[in-house]
Amino acid sequence: MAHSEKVLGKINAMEQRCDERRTLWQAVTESFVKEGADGITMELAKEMGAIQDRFDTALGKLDAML
Amino acid sequence: MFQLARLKVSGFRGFVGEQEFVFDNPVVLLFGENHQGKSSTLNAVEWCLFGDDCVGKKTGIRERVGWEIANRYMTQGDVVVTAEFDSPDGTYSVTREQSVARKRAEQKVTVTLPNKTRLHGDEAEGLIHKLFGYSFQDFMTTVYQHQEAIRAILTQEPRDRNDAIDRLLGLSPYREILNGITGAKLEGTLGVMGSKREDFRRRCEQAIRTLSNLINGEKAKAISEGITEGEMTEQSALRRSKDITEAVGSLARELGSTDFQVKVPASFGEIADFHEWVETQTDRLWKQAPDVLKQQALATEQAKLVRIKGDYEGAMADEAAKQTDRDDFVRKFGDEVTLAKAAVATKHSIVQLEDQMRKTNAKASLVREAIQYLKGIAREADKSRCPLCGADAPDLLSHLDAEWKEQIKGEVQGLEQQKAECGAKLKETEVLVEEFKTLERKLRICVARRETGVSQVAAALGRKIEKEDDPLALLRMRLQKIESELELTRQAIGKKREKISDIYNQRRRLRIIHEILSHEQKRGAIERIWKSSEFTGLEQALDEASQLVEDMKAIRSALAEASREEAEAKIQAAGAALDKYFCCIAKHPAIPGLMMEVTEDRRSGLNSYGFKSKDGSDPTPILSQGDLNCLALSLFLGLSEATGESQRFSFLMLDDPTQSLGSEMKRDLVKALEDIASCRRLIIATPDTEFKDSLMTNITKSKVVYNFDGWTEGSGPEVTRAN
Repeated sequence: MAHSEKVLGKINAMEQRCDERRTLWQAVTESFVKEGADGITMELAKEMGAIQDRFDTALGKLDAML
Repeated sequence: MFQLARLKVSGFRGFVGEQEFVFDNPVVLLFGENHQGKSSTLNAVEWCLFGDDCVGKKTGIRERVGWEIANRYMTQGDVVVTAEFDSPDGTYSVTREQSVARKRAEQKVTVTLPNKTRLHGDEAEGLIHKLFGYSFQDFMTTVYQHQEAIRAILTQEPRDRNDAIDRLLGLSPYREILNGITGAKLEGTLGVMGSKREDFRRRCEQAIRTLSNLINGEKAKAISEGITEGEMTEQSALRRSKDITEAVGSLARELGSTDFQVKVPASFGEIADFHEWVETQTDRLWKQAPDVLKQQALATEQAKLVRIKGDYEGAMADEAAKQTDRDDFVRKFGDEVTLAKAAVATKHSIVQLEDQMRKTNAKASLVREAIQYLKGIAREADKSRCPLCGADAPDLLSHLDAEWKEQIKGEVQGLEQQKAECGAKLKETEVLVEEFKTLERKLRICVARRETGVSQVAAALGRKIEKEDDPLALLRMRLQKIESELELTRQAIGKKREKISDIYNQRRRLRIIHEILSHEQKRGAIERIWKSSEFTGLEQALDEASQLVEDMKAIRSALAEASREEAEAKIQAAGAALDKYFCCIAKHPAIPGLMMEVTEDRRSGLNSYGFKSKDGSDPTPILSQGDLNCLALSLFLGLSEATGESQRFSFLMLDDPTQSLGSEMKRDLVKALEDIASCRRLIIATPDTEFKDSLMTNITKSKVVYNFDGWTEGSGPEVTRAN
């Protein structure tokens, strides 16, 4: 898809975290192809949710220490 | 490129039996009055490709809310639409079906490939998406000119307009992806995490401040108790604990306890339990100590004797008072015997008086009878002469009778008065007798109380009390002895109490040190939280979330930038066509030419489109309804022309494009369509005879007309083909 290539070109030109962002973009485009915009939303929310779960778990332990 | 070649429709909206359309000419006209099925024919193509995506609120078309797919007059059969698309690979056929019986019936989709392979269900839907690469919105805004959608570009909210133009430009994937990323609300989640971390940090700082205040307070208390800074250590606390244990042990030995077990905390952590142990042990030892038990027994006996003594003294005082009352009475009125004698004497007097009264009455009666007799026997002459001296005495008997009556009366009255006085005296004596009895009774009660007191004294002292004994003196003696014994016990206990007190003091100091050290430990633990693996984990998660947000921001920027660049390129390419079509169709005197520009919507990062007249003014406010439609058509046609190579369908569908257009505008639209017909197949639905005639006359490509007429509920539209 042309739009994907164009965005990828811009990501490749980035100075920071080029590889990570490329991987992320690939995940976004794959979700879009499979399930459209809702798929992207769900995928990103899932990824952020996993981080948030780890954050909340650590915070729960810290709360217990407090 | 896919060319719509054939369409078969049955049961769809106004259609009943199968109706076939063959699109084998560059221009296909669907002509007829309103409500004959022209628009439904174009809608059938949409529904065949996109199913439920073209129904409902999500389409952005008001008329599609509650839109009915199945013919409402049919009670059985199926809705079936088949569209065939020619491509360089061959013909692809798409069929969508649903039962007319149920409104929300499941749809069946079949795609037949050029090699006659058939795909069904999700596989077929997936292929439709992959093959044509269109969403319903894409199709509606770049292939199928829908009046409502075109008007939305100019009349609706800027966001909807930008969305529609993006789709016309083939940029919807950028916008969709951006919307998908925005929908994840990553910044919001990161913000929540940041807030939680900040809240935790604040709570830690607050806890450290609170503990520091507590430590300072306890330290001040410790110093006032004579504890030095050097003693505020765990080692010192443990030494104190050992000292306390030894002191408790010594006390136990002194108090004669045989079941005392020594306990010494082995570590600082055991000191909290040790406090409780010391308290329990000292209380137990103290309560079981013989001296303490003896002191308690003496104190109990002392209290009891004091109470008995008080009761006895009270009873004695009462008895003395009552005795005095009785003695005073006797002195004043005599005792019971004297009063009884007086009463008897008085009663005797009354009897004598009554006897006298009887005698007097009898005498009076006799004299009265004698007078009456004399009155009867005396001669009338004798009645005026004294019978003794013979002297004249007129009315002698009458005088005698009156004088006698007077004398009797005086005598009787005197007797009655004496009798009354005797009665009063008797009553007074009886009252005094009753008073005396009451005093006697009260005195007896007091005597009984005192005697009970004597019995209590005897029981309390455990001895017999003789009449010659003084109970009070005996009580005083016993109380003095108890007081002496208590004094001895107090002295014996005093030293042990000092030891207990010393243990309590030591324990209090140990508690203060323990509190200080516990608070310091807790404060230290909180201060070490920042270096804990849990906090590191928290920070790592937050960093990862932050990084994800940053990465997605960078990707969003790249997306927005690419979208804008592509939009600018297409607008640049379409600019001439847009201008050309608008000038060609509208020929507006105040708008010498039309330009379109794209900028970034700073809030969303999405493309924002604007229109300008070549003289720099905004054309929208001065456009009539006809002009607006011209502008919409120009935009659709111009962008379609400009995005020609990215379009996968090589046909355009226009539904009633001449609304609000005057004759000249219609002719100019036909001129524009003549250009487009050279590269795209045109499928145009119109009820406009003038427009149809103009098309038939001025379009140089070959044409075919499907006439729609005579629609009925039972058979649907009557469609005839005319070349």
